[in-house]
Amino acid sequence: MKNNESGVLLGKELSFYAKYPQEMDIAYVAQVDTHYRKLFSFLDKKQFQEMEKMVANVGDAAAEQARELTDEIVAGLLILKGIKAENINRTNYWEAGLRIRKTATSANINFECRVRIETVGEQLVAGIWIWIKGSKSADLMKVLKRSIKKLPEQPRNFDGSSVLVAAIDLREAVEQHRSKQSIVDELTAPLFQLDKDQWHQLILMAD
Amino acid sequence: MNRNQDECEALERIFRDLSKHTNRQLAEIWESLGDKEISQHPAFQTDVRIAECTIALLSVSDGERKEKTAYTQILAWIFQHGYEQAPIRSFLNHLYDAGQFPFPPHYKFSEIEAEAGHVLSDRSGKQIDVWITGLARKNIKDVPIKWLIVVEVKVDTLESLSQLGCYEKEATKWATASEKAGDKYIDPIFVCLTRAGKAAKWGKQNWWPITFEQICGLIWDSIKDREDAPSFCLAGYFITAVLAKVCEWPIPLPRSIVPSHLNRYSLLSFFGKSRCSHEE
Repeated sequence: MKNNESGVLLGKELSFYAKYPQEMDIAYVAQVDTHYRKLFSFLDKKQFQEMEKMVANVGDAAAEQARELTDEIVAGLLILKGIKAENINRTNYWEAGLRIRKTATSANINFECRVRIETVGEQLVAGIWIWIKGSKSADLMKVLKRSIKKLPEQPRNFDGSSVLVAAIDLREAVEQHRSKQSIVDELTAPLFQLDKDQWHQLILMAD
Repeated sequence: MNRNQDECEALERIFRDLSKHTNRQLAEIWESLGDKEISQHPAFQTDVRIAECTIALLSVSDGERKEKTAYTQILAWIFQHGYEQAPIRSFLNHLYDAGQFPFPPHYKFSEIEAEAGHVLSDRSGKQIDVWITGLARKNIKDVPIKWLIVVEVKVDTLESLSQLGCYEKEATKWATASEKAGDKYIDPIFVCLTRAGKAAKWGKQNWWPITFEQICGLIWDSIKDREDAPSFCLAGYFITAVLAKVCEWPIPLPRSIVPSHLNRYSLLSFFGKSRCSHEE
């Protein structure tokens, strides 16, 4: 157990988000969808507007902290040896990633490693995903399992072409006072277990 | 104590009330049901359906791995459930104006079904992105004429050599089955939906090219004056997401409105949790 670690902890707002991910999501959707608005019928109009502001403030701050965390995880992956990778342009604050090329001059980039923070059931999960265009997840897993003994349970919205390589329940991490660095280390560790041949095999699959 | 700390605490109180309140609402529904299954209650079903769709829509903004799947699911949903057939009618009118669809706007369309990921019957496991069927008739007393529109969506992948051929075969099977059943039908219509309106390369049939921007325009035109329609905000999400992510319009996706990591099972799970706690 990694209780009470020293080091920088997750921000307050992201920690709050990790505690109430579904409720935050519902509060967001209720702002634009009358069906969800009904769930908050115990609040009067003014109270609801106040809640909207609070959700926006806390949510925005949490999003900033999520961006910092995903950046740090990607930076942790960039030091993988022998991999020609570049950052994927961000489209939102909760996801970042790397595109991996076979060689520095390869034109096609069909291999990606993504870091995503998302609500899964009642949890806010930070996960690392590998995606190889055209490859089936079962083939991908075969290669990964040679080094990574225990892959996380694949989620229900598993799309058949990506594999979840590592995942951490952020609520649990907050309760254990885990530092950001220890979260980064745990998430990136499985990819450091892959040897050069296995990386090569994955990259070949992407051709 | 900083401002956000106070806000977190205030939100925490609201969220606890939200949980109690949801349980209470569900309890009322439960009591009104008697012995029936709660999931059969129309109010609950509506919420779940809306939830599923909203979440699928929001996942488009989330950069989900299979973005195309999310787009096609939502597009199919909008075509099937969109307010009083407005979006699908708008699409059919577009095809009519383009000379691709034989029935003019004053025809009556019924039994419209739009399915995302229609699995081919050849057991190859391949799927057609959107498979839309329906009936058309000029007057209510006329014999209905069956129609089929096959939509292939290309977001970021290239067309493979045999792909469209398989889809065309599937559409031919539909026509053959209709003929055998003695139904009136028209030849299937093929549409290729891409970012730039690119023509299909390998299909034998005429695949009518259409762009995402056109589809967004058609949907928007059909619902823009109907803000009360349940599909209004869903279609709004779809259009925003498609224009921003597929067409790469410089639209800042609002973080405060669209939670960027929303997962499609999150809200369903919330409802599920509330239901379970009531049953206990």
